[in-house]
Amino acid sequence: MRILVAEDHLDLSRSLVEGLREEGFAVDLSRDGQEALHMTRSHPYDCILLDIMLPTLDGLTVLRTIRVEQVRSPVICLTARDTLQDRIDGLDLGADDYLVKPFAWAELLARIRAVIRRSKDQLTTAIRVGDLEIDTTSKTVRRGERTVHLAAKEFALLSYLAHHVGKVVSRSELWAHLYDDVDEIGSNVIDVYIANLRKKIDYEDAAKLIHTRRGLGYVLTDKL
Amino acid sequence: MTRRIIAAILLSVWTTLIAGGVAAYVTVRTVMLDELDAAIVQRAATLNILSDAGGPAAQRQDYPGDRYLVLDEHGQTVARMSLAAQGPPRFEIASRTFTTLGDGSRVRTVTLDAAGVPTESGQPRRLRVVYSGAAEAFDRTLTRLAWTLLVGGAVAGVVAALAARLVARRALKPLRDATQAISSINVDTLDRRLDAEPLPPELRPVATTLNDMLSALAEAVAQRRQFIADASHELRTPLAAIIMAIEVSLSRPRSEPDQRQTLQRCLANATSLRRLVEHLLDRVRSDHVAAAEPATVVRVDDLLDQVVAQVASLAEQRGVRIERSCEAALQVTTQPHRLRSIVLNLVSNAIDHNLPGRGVRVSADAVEDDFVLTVSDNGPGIAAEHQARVFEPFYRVSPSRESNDGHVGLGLYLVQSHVQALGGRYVLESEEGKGTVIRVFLPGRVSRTDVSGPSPNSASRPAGAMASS
Repeated sequence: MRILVAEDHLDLSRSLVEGLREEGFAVDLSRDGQEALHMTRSHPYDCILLDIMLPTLDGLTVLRTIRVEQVRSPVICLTARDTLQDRIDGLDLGADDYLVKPFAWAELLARIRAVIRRSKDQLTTAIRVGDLEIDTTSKTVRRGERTVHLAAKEFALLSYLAHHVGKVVSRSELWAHLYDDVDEIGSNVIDVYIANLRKKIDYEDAAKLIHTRRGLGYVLTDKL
Repeated sequence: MTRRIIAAILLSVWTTLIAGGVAAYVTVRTVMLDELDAAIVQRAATLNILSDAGGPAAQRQDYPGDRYLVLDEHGQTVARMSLAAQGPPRFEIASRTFTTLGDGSRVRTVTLDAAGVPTESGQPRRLRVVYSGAAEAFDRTLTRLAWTLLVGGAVAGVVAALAARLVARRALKPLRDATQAISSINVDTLDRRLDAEPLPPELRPVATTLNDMLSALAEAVAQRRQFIADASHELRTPLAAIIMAIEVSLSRPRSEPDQRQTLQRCLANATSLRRLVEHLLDRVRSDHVAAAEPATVVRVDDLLDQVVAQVASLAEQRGVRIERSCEAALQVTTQPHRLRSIVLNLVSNAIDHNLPGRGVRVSADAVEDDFVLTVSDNGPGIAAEHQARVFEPFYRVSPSRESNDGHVGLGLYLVQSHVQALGGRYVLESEEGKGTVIRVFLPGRVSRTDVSGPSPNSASRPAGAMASS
């Protein structure tokens, strides 16, 4: 999942970016409103953390503009403004959630998971595909009785496929949602991770869940 | 108010009624009495004095119901007289009284005297006529008049009382409405105004004054609210940065360099929080403590020494040199806390915005009786569009909070509020690329010590730390 952090406070934005990357998200950072607006146009973010008081273009204007432009990414407003009217304004302009500074890290993560879940039509934090169970909160994966240990990026890849279960996800889409601008990656890295995932999930005689659609991409499904 | 107006109306109406009634009664009584008496005299005067020989019978029968007596000075009936020849005697009224007779009837008795009445014997005599006229009609009329006046007056009095109440209520209704309107205004409804239109002209200035006051209050409250909202925003952001840094750091095991970095991040934000809190407290003191502080005589030279010492480490850190010039004997009568805050914030601000290695200059002068403080920096200057706004709370020339220089945007705002509280003014001159000069004028407060200090002209000496860059 790829997240845009639009926050101009130097230390706060650094902590957010570092923490979110450690949680397995691909994270882009913007410290001004114009740039943030531009970035939402060029990347399909799975979640946008938007500070209201941004230089060059304030957060509410960014929010209004991206909604007019049909950008559907879920937006969480992060702001020190806490009056009822501020919250109403933010939500009415198209924010999916509103978090007042200072906030707890665990709460921010939970809210990010929640808005992503809603935007992908998932009802629960655990996703089941056949006997494969993916818990997006504890980041644990089980296949039948076996616990599967995945690296952060492997989990991110599987999680993205699971959020789009039964749908073909192209290589470029995976690329766009799993890697941010600072990740340095080779062109075949997606294929490498898919191969690793297959080894860990579709092992031995278990039914195959990850399928390749030649020329289109990959799909996670137990129905063929 | 209502009661007073009613009382005033009633007092005047009732006094008029009573006085009018009494006057009417007395006047009517006097007039009627005079008429009665005149009629009696008329009748008495037209009497012919009776004689044995007899006057004309017709004359005697003119007043058959009247009673009269003609007496001599001894009370004896007068002897026969010839009136036909000498004409009627001239009577004059001696007395007039009401008398109640034996049968209970009240009569008006007029006593008439006539001197030198000629008699038959040729000797003129003195005669007295006592005439009693019926007083029933007179009494009846007057009694009726008195009753009419009393009842009419009472009715008029009650009507006047009701009318007075009505008038007073009517007259005071706009005032009551205005009172209600005023009492409905509280700190949340300061946008309401009194409608001066329905008020009587005498009260309109009150409404206008109140409305002006409300406008001023509303603006002050709005400014306060904005300040609090801004302040809470400014407090929350570094707090969020600290909490986030700690929580992210604690979320998994960290190496020592990572932990150091987290701590440094926290320290930087805690420092800017501290500075912000200090400024906020200074602002609160400015409102409450400094406002009550009495004006005392401050030696400007000492004050500058203290301030320069206070900012020395900051200046050293930024590589800024501070030059100060002040006449040693210069004194200013002012509130010391405010003046100190003005100087400290101006100098700190100048250091913050100065280019490293360049000087910040502080000078205090007396221009006639006015105190003039000048602080100039060699910074990048302030663009014209920002110049008017740098005195607003939390205003920063750079819109981003990206630079964690601990600059909170309250220094010049504090300067402004202190200068205004002292009745002074300030002037900002700035040119991009050259630097900024801020002058503060405090009117009519300068004096000089008797201490024979060094030369009265400026004792300029560099203070603070020299930059080594």
